[in-house]
Amino acid sequence: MTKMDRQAEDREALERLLDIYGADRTRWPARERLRFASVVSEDKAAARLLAEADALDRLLELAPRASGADIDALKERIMAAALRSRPPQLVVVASGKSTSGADMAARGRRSAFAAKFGRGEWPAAAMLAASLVLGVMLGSAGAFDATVQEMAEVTGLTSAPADNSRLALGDEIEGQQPDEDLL
Amino acid sequence: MAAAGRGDAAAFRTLVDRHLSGVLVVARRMLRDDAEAEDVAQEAMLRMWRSAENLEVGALGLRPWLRRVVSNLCVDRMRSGRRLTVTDEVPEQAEPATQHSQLEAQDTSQRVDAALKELPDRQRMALTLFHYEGLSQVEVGRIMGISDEAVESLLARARRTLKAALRDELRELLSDEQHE
Repeated sequence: MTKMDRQAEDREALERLLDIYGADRTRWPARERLRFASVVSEDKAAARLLAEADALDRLLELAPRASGADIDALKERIMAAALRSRPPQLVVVASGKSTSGADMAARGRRSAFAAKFGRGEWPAAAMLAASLVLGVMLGSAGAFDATVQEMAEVTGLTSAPADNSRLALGDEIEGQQPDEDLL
Repeated sequence: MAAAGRGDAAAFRTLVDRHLSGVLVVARRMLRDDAEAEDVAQEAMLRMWRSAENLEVGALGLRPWLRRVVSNLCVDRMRSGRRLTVTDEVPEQAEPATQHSQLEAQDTSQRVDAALKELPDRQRMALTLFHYEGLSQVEVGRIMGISDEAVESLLARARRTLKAALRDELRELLSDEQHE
């Protein structure tokens, strides 16, 4: 085999290598790196092949990435879907019995109301008066029963057992606004 | 990750902020349609949320797990043929280009993107995993369920197709370098 034949054979092998791995030599199999280092340095046509492969690699790097606007909207959708599928856990901050996440999730709305107004912070009579006003407003909307139930529980007029621990709420409870004014 | 596993939404948000961009880019490059890619990215993030409690995070972090999930979801989509056709709609730019060179770069970027989308699915997936994700040939084969030789074949065909599709851009790039 003449030198020219060998060079042609090496160029073909180099072209196959470049087609598979690209121009980045760190991506080549170790045995090929050594073999083709001398091929590229001695053969201008082989050097040209490497330059073309390098140009393609650089073009590939120009492919667009996601735009910021797309990602922000997608993030919001993801967070909404995640919170729908598994409500966040509530954390008990005072000493006392911890409460299971399922329990807390079920009592989330009632607890939010309790955290806002607190037990015994408002006179019971005032709360009952407020509930009457609210009842008139909500009666037609069909939310009367649920709201009165909440009000009764806060004022202690419920059979639910007393709980000495206060619950700290994250601000990720679905549908709840910590500063929501219900009155 | 542990916090997300306990249902801490803020911790999950941090993970989403950190990983979504990379996940979305991979999905976009594998699938022909941006909407499909967003669906895949969303599903991958939600699987992370649902699995967070039991997920073991190694030295390389979440990225290998996410990459595997995204690749599998993309493969499923390709097999089920649920891909939507690509429209001719030009993607919106975050800021308007004001210089000629910026316009040219955007134009080139769009042509590269179009050429990638024209690749057959498996070629595009192999190229995405190898070139963009930096996986080894063996790792690509493991994810795609094919042999090393099959990976080599896909990569070689992908690059040859791209070389032909981007012939003008390559010529311009190489002639610019010769003039420098």
